[in-house]
Amino acid sequence: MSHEHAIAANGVTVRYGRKVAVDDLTLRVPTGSVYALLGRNGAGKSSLVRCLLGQRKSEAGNVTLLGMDVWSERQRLMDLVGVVPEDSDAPPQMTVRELAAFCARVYSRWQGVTFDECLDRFSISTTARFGELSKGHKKGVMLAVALAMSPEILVLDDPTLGLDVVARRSLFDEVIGEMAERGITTLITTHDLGGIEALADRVAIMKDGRIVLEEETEALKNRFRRIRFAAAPVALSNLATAAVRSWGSGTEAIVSNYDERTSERFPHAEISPLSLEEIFIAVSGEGEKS
Amino acid sequence: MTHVLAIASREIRERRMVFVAAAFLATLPFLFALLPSAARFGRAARIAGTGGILASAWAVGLAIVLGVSILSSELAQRRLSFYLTKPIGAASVWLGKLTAAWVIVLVTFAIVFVPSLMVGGSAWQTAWNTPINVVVALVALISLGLILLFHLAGTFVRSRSPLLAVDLVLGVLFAGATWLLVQPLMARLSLQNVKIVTLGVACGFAAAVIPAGVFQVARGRADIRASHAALSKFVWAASAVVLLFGGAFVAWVLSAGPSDLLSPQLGQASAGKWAWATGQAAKRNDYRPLFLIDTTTGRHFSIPASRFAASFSGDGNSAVWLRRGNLELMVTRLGGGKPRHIATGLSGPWFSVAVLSDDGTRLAAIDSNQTLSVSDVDGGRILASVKLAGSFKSHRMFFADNDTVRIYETPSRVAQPGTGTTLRAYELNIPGRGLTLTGELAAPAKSLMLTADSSGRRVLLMPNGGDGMFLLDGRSLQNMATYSVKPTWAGSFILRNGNVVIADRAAGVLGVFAGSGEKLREIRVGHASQIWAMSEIAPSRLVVLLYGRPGSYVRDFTTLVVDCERGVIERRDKVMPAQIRGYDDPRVASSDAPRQLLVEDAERRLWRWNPLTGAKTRL
Repeated sequence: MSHEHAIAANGVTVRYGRKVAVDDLTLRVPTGSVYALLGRNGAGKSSLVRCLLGQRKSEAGNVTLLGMDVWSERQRLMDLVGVVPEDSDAPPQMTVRELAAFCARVYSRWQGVTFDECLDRFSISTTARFGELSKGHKKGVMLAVALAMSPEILVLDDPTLGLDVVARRSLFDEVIGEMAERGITTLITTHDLGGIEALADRVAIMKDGRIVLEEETEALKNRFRRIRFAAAPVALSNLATAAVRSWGSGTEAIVSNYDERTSERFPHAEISPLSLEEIFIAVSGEGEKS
Repeated sequence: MTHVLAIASREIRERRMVFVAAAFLATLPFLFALLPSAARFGRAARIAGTGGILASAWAVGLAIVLGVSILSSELAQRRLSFYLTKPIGAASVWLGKLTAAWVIVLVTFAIVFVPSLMVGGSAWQTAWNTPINVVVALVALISLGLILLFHLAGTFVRSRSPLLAVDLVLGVLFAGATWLLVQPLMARLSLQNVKIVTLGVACGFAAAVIPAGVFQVARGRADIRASHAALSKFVWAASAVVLLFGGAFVAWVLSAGPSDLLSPQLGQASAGKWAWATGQAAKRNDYRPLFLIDTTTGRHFSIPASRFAASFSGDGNSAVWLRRGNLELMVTRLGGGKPRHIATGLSGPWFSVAVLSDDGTRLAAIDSNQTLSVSDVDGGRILASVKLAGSFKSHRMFFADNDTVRIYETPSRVAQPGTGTTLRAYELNIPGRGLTLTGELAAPAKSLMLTADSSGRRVLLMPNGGDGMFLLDGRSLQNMATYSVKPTWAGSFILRNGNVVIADRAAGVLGVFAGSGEKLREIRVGHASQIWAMSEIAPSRLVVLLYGRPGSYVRDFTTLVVDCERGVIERRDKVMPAQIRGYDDPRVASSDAPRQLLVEDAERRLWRWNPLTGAKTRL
């Protein structure tokens, strides 16, 4: 059965004592999309991911994957969801080969060939114990597991953490790109915004447990612009500014509702597009709003 | 099941070094045996003994370590997500880990134990004196219990949750509730049932951890605090259920009524309506309740009395009995309203005789030190206490009046090597606290049968195995009359009109004699192994029990109601009445009011029986 949204979180709240980690959050990940969930450390991403994977019950709200409640249908869903966790959690004494053998026994659609190919891609030995692998290789093994179980959804929680540049490039360009081509819904949380920028169909930014921005990547990039004025002050009425700061003797503003008419209003200003990373920094609180 | 095995084999593989360590440990008994001192005990015995100790200690230690770490360490290190991100159910995760831990303990126990067992051979049996299958079963059960209990403790402690305080409180409450649960059984010295309840509750608690582990993973998932909360919730809820089952078992044991008694022993007051019944309760292991029974209504209640039952005051409104446990003499007031128990303060180590005054206000008891003490039951004071002379004496006694205790003393059989014996009568003056020898009689027999009339003024003495029977003054033991009877004449009774009834079991007759010794008549009652005159239920109407057949004590009995004045048998019934008045008091039972007797039938069922009408009501 196809679903419009492969992942749907409705009013999810997660608390640790008095601290609210996720606050009444609603999220929809369209089926077949690559969805980037961004946020600074402590924004609540990991807590949300634990709820999305049925590892933690939210204090309020519910989560469905492929239309099934993840809390009650976790076992069934985990045969369809590949996971690369933030902290690689395979038993340290286990060799990579043993891990593959174990996974072959528990996953119904295990593809050993895919696993081996992925290991080759990251140059990981199958005889090594998991605990003895580098951080990057651990991620690579976890990724290999996630791909080899033939997922319908792939959840990657900061998958590039510890990967070297080549492996990172390989992950984004080949692996995630391939997943996207195969129509596998991919949810990725990452700090590597440069890598995900070209792949993500949609982006959400979390701050203080809430989603403060959620949009298609292209549309997002189209409406954010940096506008630099040689002289100051400048009237920015009718423009939504995400950040305003001084720039040399002039002023720099990050606006989030840019359109063609804006450039006509400021013929002498220097207007340039923003990278996803710059948008993220502006939205998640780095800018100085005036 | 596949997932359980997959997880179990993975866990075992991860801990494979434990097997190497066990193999190393298995060599130690052999190395110890090389020590020069080992030769003294025999090398085989030394290997067997050391191997057994090491293997057991290893199994216990490893069970604790694995119990603590089996799940909670992965939870604390946030590594349980490895399983939770795979299509594995909570039950598979927990049962796979539990199976692995148990298998590791058992296999490594075998690795350590089997080599020494094989070399030690029969020396092992000598050293341990326990069958091998029992040892294996014990190790298996104890290790599983330890794994489960330490899993519980490991999760509770590692979570660092404030819930731990609640767990501690609930743990103390659980232990306290278990203690309270067995108290009624302890008070009745039903130790088998105490063991069953204690073990049952402990096993039930440990067993509850098995499904609790599933619940813990299913509800707590990767969050150790949520995991702790789920485990805690399930375990304590299950423990409450275990306690309820324990309570239901205790209630069931204690619910035994008189009709549940197997081979009951019965006793009845010489007046009034109360009787007692005791015996093993059916299907209730070693539980031996003692019931005080109202024979007019069938109402009954149990008391935690020792197996030596109870005896009643002359008016039938009080009963004295020995409480189990601290062996304190207790008096229960039965006259009207709710029965009331009074602790007399007289306690063990043993009492050979204990009797109440006729009105139940005073209690006389002889303890194992041959000290006769008289106490005021309601006041709780000792009124008099005297040491009786000598040892190896048998005593029977009664309150001649509230200030006087009459004691009859005979040497016990073991202390009487000759052919004669001496009967002595004493009186204890309670206000004066003086013991006076009031009569002494030498008789040519090794033992004497003594029966007093209901007032205690006259005593019928029958030297066992001799010819003749003597009517004596109860106080001075002066001979008042002699009855010429043969040794086959047995049971005797002094009627209230002064006539004496003596049974001849060989001839199957009751002889009725005047107080002067003159035979008035013979009443043919039938042959039996024993004939006992039980009680006078109305003037000259005697309840007589015929037990067994001539020469045989086969369980066959008939109870008669005999009119000794007219010499006729008024009733025959296949019942056996309770013993009326205890052995301690030699006076015959004589009631001036018609009443029901507690009886049993051939199938050992209990009835309330009206001897005058023959009406029976099942108890």
